[in-house]
Parts: sequence; structure tokens; C-alpha cells
Amino acid sequence: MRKIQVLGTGCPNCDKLAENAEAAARELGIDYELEKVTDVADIMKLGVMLTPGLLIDGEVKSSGKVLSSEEIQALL
Amino acid sequence: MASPSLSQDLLSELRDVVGRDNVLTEPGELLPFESDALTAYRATPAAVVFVHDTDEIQQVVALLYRAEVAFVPRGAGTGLSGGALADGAVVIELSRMNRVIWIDWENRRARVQPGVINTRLNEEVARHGLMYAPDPSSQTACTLGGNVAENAGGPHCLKYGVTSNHIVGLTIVTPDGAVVDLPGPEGPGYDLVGLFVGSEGTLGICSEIEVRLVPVPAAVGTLLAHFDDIAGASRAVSAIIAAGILPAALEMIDRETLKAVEASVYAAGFPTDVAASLIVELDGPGAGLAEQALKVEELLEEHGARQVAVAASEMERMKFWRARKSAFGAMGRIASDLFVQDATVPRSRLPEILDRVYEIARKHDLTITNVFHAGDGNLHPNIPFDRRRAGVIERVQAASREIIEACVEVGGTITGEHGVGIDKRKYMRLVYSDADRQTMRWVKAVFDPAGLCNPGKLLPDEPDTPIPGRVVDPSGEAMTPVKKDVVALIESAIGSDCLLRDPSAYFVDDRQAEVVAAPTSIAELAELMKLASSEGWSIVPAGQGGWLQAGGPVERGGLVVTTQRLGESLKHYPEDLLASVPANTTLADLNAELSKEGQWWPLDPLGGGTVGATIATASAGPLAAAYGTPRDLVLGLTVVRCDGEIVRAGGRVVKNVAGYDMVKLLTGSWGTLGIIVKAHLRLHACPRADTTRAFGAGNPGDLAALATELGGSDSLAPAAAEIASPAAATALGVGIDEWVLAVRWLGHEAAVKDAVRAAKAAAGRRGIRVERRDKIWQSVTTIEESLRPALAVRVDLPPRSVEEFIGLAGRFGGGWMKPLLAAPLLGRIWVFVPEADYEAAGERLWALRLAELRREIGESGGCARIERAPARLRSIVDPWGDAGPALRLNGGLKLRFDPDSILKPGFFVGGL
Repeated sequence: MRKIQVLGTGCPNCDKLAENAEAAARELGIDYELEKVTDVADIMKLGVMLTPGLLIDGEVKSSGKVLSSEEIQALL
Repeated sequence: MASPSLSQDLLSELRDVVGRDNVLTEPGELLPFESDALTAYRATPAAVVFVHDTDEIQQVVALLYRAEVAFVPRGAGTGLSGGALADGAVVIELSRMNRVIWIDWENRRARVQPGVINTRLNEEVARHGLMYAPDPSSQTACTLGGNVAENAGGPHCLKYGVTSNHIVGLTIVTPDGAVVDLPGPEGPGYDLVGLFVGSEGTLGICSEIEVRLVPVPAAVGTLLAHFDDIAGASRAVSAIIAAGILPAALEMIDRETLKAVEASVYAAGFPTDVAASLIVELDGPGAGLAEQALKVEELLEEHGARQVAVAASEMERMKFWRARKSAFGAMGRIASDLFVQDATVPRSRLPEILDRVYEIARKHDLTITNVFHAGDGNLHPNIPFDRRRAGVIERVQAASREIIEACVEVGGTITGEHGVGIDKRKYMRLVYSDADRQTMRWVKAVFDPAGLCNPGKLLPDEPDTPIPGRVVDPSGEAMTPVKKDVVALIESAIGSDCLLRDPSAYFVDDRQAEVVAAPTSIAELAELMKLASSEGWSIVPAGQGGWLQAGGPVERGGLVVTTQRLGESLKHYPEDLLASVPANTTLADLNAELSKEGQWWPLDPLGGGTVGATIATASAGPLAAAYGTPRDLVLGLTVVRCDGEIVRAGGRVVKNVAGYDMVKLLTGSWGTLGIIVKAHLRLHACPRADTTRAFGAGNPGDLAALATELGGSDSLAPAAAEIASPAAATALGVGIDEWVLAVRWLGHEAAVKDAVRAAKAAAGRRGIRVERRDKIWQSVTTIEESLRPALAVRVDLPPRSVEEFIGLAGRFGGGWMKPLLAAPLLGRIWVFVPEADYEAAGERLWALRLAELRREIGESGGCARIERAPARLRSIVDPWGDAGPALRLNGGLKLRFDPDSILKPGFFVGGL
């Protein structure tokens, strides 16, 4: 199972990124778990300083960007 | 017996790091560490650990962090706010770290360990005619680490500035045990050095300190005046400042203090029947000093001085100072206990505040004596008392609070130099709003998320309230703003007036801005920030749009928000050398207004622009050599945060150590933490004489050597010195095919005349041609209009490396650095690449050239920043330079202030 984490305090950009990430995983038919991390201290601990942040299996894939579903598919 | 709270395992690990004898745990050994110099507060530490170098601090902190044990850094224990109190915590004792690591005589810098005593550093550097300027009254005992923690002041900071103005670099151990070099004010990222100074040991432990040294003044003149009326003495203080004279020190001692001094072993022969005495000390080049002293004497007499004496010898000067410096010691004769208060008011409010203080004393049946730094409005009311008398402590506390409240009421602050510590946390709410304090808590949380580093100090205990609820639009569509949506949303939420009809002056990342929002009030701007947050737009703050070709390209489009219509008027308080101005005021308008009262805000950045942009970008021009940069000339800021909260940082007074120095953090933050809407500016009197000479030579090395000679001589130091390459000189309209050094002197006529004469002689000896060029500075600030550079790079180096850099410049990548301006006294160089030259090479080649430049200067500790370049280049080259391990702290601050990344995401250091 892939672990997708979307980091952000709940702003529209984070929601959009989460939506795109789910769409990407569904499109590829991947078994996944999505977690939203909204606490600033936790976001910092995960190594992201610009939101929204995207982590896949614990690795920072992007920060400060709203990646499209296609872009996320390439990362999965 | 060891403190029960520390495990034996931890203690033995600590002993393994520092040695058995360097860990104290016995109650008798801990006794001296129960308080600092504010003995009203006492608490027993769990242990005291003596450390000897950065490595030991790092290991000790890492152990304590892992064990979740709180710790408190401590120096000489001379603090007056209870800041070193360690209740059940481990004291990390730094006084044995007392080595001066190096002194760089040429660049006037020294690097020291935190346990070095202030006076000792001064003794070391005096043999080369230099000094470390901040001189707190406890300087024979207090350590530089403590001075950094408290942002210590002293009598001579009226002219020379406080500790913060003299610290150029710090190495710290963060509370989780990482060693981080904090970049100085010119380095990449936020001014973390400025933020750390005055943080009272709550953000980490500084293990190495790099300080700026200044030449010992060539001449000193000291006057002593006695007044029958304390209000007259206060007015004399204002009159001296208003006359454009900036004494090195201006101190007042009142009657009760004089009586105590004269009755003690420190007796200096002062009369005891006067209301107050003033010590006025002038220093600088010899020329003109006597005339200034005469003028001061006149002003003192005009305001009712009964008698004015001028020190005829160094011995007499020491006698004048003895009364001032021994005041606290002498107070011991009056009563067994002494409460020393510390607060600052705008200088012009001194007479009324002194009346209030004496009235408060009468009301509570107490004696209050005053001895203080009158020149900066920094009061030290002393309350002698005997704690054995019933109810006296309550009366002292009540009076103390009333004094603080009175000072805050007239626009002052709760502490000018002693710090908040444990004692003044209760007053923080008097000067800072909930939102103001919240931003300070964010700073603490970034540096010390576990809350182990000097807990319970500086900030009142209060939970962190979440950011006020954001209205989240569940549809949350399309983050890159679509023009029509943005327009429609702004029009409906705020009003159509909020949009600029003609956005053509604004370009972001090479694109013409389609929509520019121009709120007409701070409230409208706050609404707009909330709207942007809830819509997920990114915002690009701007003044006139002059700085939008810097930094990394902004993510998600970027809606330009200009402050240019935030209509509010400028307020000038000449007696306080203060102006409160809206951010959209242009420097030209500001100085035109201030000049009506013979004052100015002495900054001359390239391109002019607004006050807000100058502060946000920490821009300064040639005059930085004399007056510093915005961090030295801004007292307070009002900023609109991303969540629409309006916060205030700093205040209206020159000396202010209440809480973290948020002004330093925000100055030079390039609009990435909030939008600056208002500023309280520190002003200077316009100089009486202003003269410039241009020196021409075929060889830039000769000019650099000349500039260095002038900077180091006994006569008046240049206020500005710029070396222009032949191409830059042509753009400035001076010199044909030769290098030109322009030097400006500001000050008293006699001193300026003397300096020009000496400079001409020095140039003559080197065979350098001289001509008069008083108008050149206008051309310097507008040089970008003549050169129209596609690329502008700013290089900062140790000052004495400038000459070598200029020598190298011709050889870099086929000699691309043609027009350049170099400030040999500052170590700052601007390189401009005109459009045609830029286009002649591709982006890849420019990226390589910049990498080469960074490699070359990196070796001498320099850094390079792109101030203007096409977005194509800024997207492949880091415009800021490497922040190193400090990037984590930069990122944390950005995330706390701007959790949704709406302010210029991608723009700042490390892609923040």
C-alpha cells in the first residue's frame, strides 16, 4: 500500500492537491492510504516549509505547488 | 545529594562530556546560581554544567534535549530581569568560554567566545586604537554572551547604538542540539542574527560571537552641568538633540542620587543642593569639537544650568563619570535593598514622566532616585527600601507597576536595556496585543519546539490560540488566479476602488501584471489578505514596483498588492528624532518633509522607492557607511499578516528590548512574512556641512587604498565612499576611461574642511587627481536608469577584500563585470549587466558565470545576491545564495507566519 501525505493547514490549495493525489492513485488503480497533515509543527517535522506539501511513502515529492493528477501519477 | 529530577545516568553522561569537576549538584555549590543580579527572585537549579567550547555545548544540549530536561544559559549572572533563573533546570555555565578567537584588525572585526568580559575585549583591541562600543554599566563584569542575550545598551549607545548594531555574526547551538551559523544581516535569508540578539537565552545558546569594532574617537569633550530645576535639565537634553548635536553620551543624575554618592566612598565633590546634574560627552575628530562644546554650554545655560564645567583633563573627566558609574553602589548606603527599574519614553516626554515618577514615590511613601540615559529617554528609577519593614515590598511593586504604566501611556516601553526575563512578563500585555505576542510565540516555537530552552521567560504563559478561523471554500478551485475571478471576487468582497485602473507599471517575473490590488486602508488590506488566504491565491506585495525582478519566480501567478494608496499622513516628531510614516511614502517625499525641521532619514538606496520597500528589502546605498542600513534606522513596524491580523513590532523609542526583536526579523524579509504598512523611523539631524570629492586614477587599487587610508585616519571618516569602474563612471557623468572614487563627508564644517584637506594631501602623495563633485550622489541612486541593467548582482565581502575583488573582476568570464560600484568601507559591490551584454550570452552561460563568482568570493566569506534578472535566469540560479543549516530556521519562520504559503511562494531563500 502506498502512503500519500498532503501537508497543509486546510487551505484550498491543499484540498486541491489532495483531490488530485486521490484521482492519480485511482487512475493508476493503486492501493493507497491518504493522510492530511494540518498541524504546522508536524508539517515542519516532516521537512516541508512551503505548503501544500506532498509526501509519498514518507519522501517529500513537492512543496509549494499544486501538482496536477498527471504529474502525481508520474511520481507514484 | 543530586537533585532528584535528574537521573544518575544523565549526570554521568554530562560528566563524561565536560569532566567530573564541571558538573555541580551539591546544594552548597548551587547556591550562587540561585539568582542573577535581580535578587528578588530565587530558585534552585537541578545542576550547573560548565562548558568550554561549542562542541561541549552541543553535546550537553543534545543530552538534555533527549532527556527532555530544561536548561538555562548563564554568563556572569549580572542580569537584572531574573532571566538566568533556573528553577529545577540545568544551568549551562558559559563564563569559562572566555577566549578571544581572532581579531581581524584590517576589517575591524573580532570573534569571541560568549564568556569574554566586555571590558577585556576592549582592553585587547585598544592597542590598535579600536573599541567595542556598547558599554553597559556592568561592563567590567558582564560577558558578551550576556550582552547578546539582553541586547545590552549603555551610556554611549546614544551615538554608537546598542549591542544589536554591533553583532555581525553568531554561531548558535539550537535547543535540539544542532550547531548553526546564523547569517549576518547581509547574508542569505532572514536577519536571524538580529532576531537572536536580545532573545534572552530562549532561542538557543550562542557559542561564538562576531563583533564589529570601531575606531576610538580622536578627541573627547565632557561637560557637567548642575540644574536647580529638573524640568530645565530635561528640556536641555531635548534642545541639544534638536540642535543637531549627537553627543556620545547624555546622562542625568538627580538630587537623591547625588546625595547618596556624596555620602559614600565614591564622593566626587558634586553639590548636593541641586535638582539634577547632566553629563554631556562629545566625541569625534578634534576639529570642531571645541565649538560644539561651546554650543552645548550655551544651550545648557539657556535652559537654566546654574553652573557648567568642562573637563580640563582625563582625570577630571573620570571624576565627572565616577558619580554616574558608582550610583548603584552608593545606593547601598541608603537602604539594604534596591529595586532598579528600567523603561524608555520618547525623549520629549522626559519632564512629565519624571514628575509622574516623583508623584508616584510620594503616593506610596517611598524614595525614588533617578539616574539614567537621558539622551535616549531610558529611565532607571531606583527604589531603595528595607524588606524587613512591613508592607514595603507591596508598595515597591505597586509603585513600580505605576511607573511602567505611565511610561507606556506616553508612548514608551517596559524595558530599554535590562530585558523582560521573569520580572516583566506581566507587563508584556501593556505593550503588545494578543496578535503581537502570538507572532513572538511563533518565533519561540520555531527555534525551541520542545520548550526546553530557558522556559518561562520573556513571554507570559498563555496557550497558543489557533489562527482565527478561515472560511474554506469547499469547491476550492483553480489556484492560479484567473483574472476575471480575481476581479469579481475583490469587487464583491472589498469594492471596485480596491483595484488599480492602470496596472502597467507592475511586472512580475517578466510578465505585465493584469490585475493590481491597491487597498485604500489597512482594514481593506487585511480583508484582501483573508480573501487571498481563503481562495489560495499567491500575493506579491509591492510599493512602486521597483523590486519585482528579484528572488525566485513566484508560484501560482501572484496577485500584485501595492501599498501605494494606503492613505495616511506622515507624522514628524522632531524633538524625538522620530517620524511615523505610512509605508507608501517615497524616500524623496519623506526627506523633503523632514528637511523642514533640519532632519532626515539618511538612506540612499538605488532607485529611491518607498519607505516600505526600502525596509522590506533592507536596501541601503552609499550612506550606509555612516548611518547603517534600515535595521539600524527603524524603531517600529506595523504589519498585516496573512491571516489579516494587524501586528505591531518594536515601538517609538530608540532603546527597546521588550520581547523578541521582530523589527529585525521583518526588515529584509522581502514581504514574505507580512505586508509592512507603517513604520516608526529613527531620524538624524541634517549635517551642517556636506562635501564630496571625486578622485580619478587609472588603477582601482590606488583608489581602494586611498579609501582605506581615509577610513582609518584620525580626521572625520567618510560618510560614503564609492569606487566606480570606467563604465559606471561614464554613466555617472564623471571621468573618461578611468576609475573614480567618490568620497562624501558629512558633519561639522571645521571637521569636514579638515578631512577634505587631509584627503587631498593623501591623494597628492599617491598622484591621484581630485575634483569637486557634490552632485554625484543623485546620479549614483539613479544609475540603473542610465544603465538599464538586465542583471544586477550585489556582492558582500569583508571590506578589505574589495580591492582584490575589483582586481579579479576584469578577469571573470571574459570581463563581463564592466559597470560596477564598490564601497570599500562597507564591502558591498554592485555589478550591472546592461541589456545588450546580457542578451549576448545565454541563460546557461550566465548561470555558470554566477556560479564562478560565488565560488571565488565564497573563499573569503563573501556572498552574492541577484537583485534584478529575467525570470528565466532566476528560475535556474538560486538568487539568494546558500543559507546552510540556517535554512531550517528560515523555513520554520516562513511556515509559521504564512502557513498557506500565499506570500510570494517560491521567492525567498531556499525556494521558500
